[in-house]
Amino acid sequence: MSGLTIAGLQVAIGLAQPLRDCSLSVAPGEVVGLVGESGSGKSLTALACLGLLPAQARARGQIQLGDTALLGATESVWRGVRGRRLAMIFQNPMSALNPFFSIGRQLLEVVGAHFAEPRAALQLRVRKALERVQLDAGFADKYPHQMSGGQLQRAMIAMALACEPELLIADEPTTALDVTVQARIMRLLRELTGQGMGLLLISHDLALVAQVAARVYVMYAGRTVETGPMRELMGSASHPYTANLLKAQPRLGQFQRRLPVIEGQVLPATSSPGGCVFQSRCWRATELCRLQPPPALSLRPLSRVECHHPILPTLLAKELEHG
Amino acid sequence: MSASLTTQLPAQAPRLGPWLRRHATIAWGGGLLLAMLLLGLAAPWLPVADPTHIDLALKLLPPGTAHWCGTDALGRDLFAQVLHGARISLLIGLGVVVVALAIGVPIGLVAGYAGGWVDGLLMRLSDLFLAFPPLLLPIMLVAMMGPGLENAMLAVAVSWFPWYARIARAAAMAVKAENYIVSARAFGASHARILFRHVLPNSTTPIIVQASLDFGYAILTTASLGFIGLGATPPTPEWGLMISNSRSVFLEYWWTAAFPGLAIFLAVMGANLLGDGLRDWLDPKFEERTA
Repeated sequence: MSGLTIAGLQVAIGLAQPLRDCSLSVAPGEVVGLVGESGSGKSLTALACLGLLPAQARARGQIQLGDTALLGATESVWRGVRGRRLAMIFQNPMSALNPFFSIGRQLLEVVGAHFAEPRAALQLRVRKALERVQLDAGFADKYPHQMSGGQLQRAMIAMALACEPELLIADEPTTALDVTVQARIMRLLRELTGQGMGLLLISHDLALVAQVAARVYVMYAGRTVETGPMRELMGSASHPYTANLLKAQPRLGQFQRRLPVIEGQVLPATSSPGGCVFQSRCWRATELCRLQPPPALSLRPLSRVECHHPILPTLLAKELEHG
Repeated sequence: MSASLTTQLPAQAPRLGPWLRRHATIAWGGGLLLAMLLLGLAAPWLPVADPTHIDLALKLLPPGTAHWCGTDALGRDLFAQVLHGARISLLIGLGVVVVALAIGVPIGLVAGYAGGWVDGLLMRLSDLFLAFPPLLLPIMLVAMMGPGLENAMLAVAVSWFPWYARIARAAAMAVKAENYIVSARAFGASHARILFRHVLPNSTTPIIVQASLDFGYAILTTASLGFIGLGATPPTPEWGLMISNSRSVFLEYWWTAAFPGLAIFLAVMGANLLGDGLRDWLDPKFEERTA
């Protein structure tokens, strides 16, 4: 099994349970999206993959990268993985680089930490990495404060690519950037994947993920409630939450005085429900949803939905009506 | 408007002249210290009398053309002593601060970065040294190790390092929360590398400022130890020791204490001006924005 596999990941911080059950996989070369609203556990999932959970957090489940079991691994195993096999770029590139050192120096430090090569070879890696993100070599001598947000995010991506990792986790990579810059960064990310490097793109913006991801996971209250191929999911979501999320997207050319909203609040991380995590906000909820956790159903190949009353695909729905 | 759009950005390295004019405090303080240090270092080659040459026939002469600052009770030239003393006193200030930094900063950085019980243990141990009144601990330490300039410097440094540990700890705790620290972890940096490559450089500002302010106090404290006979030993021309030697005579012969005192005053003031200026310059909240 290569690529990243997360199975039944749970994270508890004190009494709170911000990650209830997260399962996902990213194959080599695949672009996978992970969407959900703030506090749904997206970033925590990413941090867990790098072993950077807060000290008081307790994690259970499985995280596997290739043949290496990551959860519960020793610090020395982690250090060989972080940056080398699994790289991550962050939401705010302006603060993710050390203001004290030039870009080139910081890149050199990352490759130097992972490759025992002569300095000239390391410098070549740095130059190549900058080239791949379309920053010219002059940027190696610049300091973070001399660069724009888009350039900094490119530098971060270069840093992530410099060690040719198996998987890149991008946590809201464009949230802090202008829309035009956003588009260019997304195009860059799409171009860079597909040569064996997988990409896990974390975002609250379903439309953004739809541009690049082949598959998507929808997270709600610490659970991956639905997954499927991007196109199918966009066309007909099975989980009521996903359906609502899609409805809440503004559409160009369609005037709406008010965007539809999902009523109610996300289930607090401190409560432990007996039933479905979404039932308090769900219009399809029944007594069953309150009492029993929903089963994981596979209504279509490659999809999975955790719901008692999923919205059935039209074809299947018709068949059921007739039968 | 269009003119301002086409103007070139200023060259990256600021020129020294305008920079010094804008930061007059740094210029004055640093200039004062630098001048004293240079004079002190050059003293052996300057045409001044031998500071240790005793001539009882010339004792307690008032300031005049032959002896600019007069002579002391043993007939030694005071100007020569003050000049030679500059080297000793300024190097004392430097030595004390460097030793205190070398002990305090690593302790504080580790404590602030690690947190938890490591933090508690290191800081409580440091606090032990703060439990004594400021001059009492160096006196005790010198009494244990024996009087002498090196011991006095070491004693002052040991009694001061907790201040640097505290400043470094606070700075490390603030830097630890920065995004680029998490980012460095995510790229596989070890704790040691993060501590010295990321936390230390970004914590230096308050440490530099405090060190430059303490430079003056280090001279003062070591001079105090010299005054009570626990610092430099005769015939070293150390300023504190010179004042101590003049104790019995300075009521009638004011110059024996006034000139070493003036030298201490100038050195301490120079260090304070420099420290103040550095704080204003390095602290972004103080920085004046130029259009």
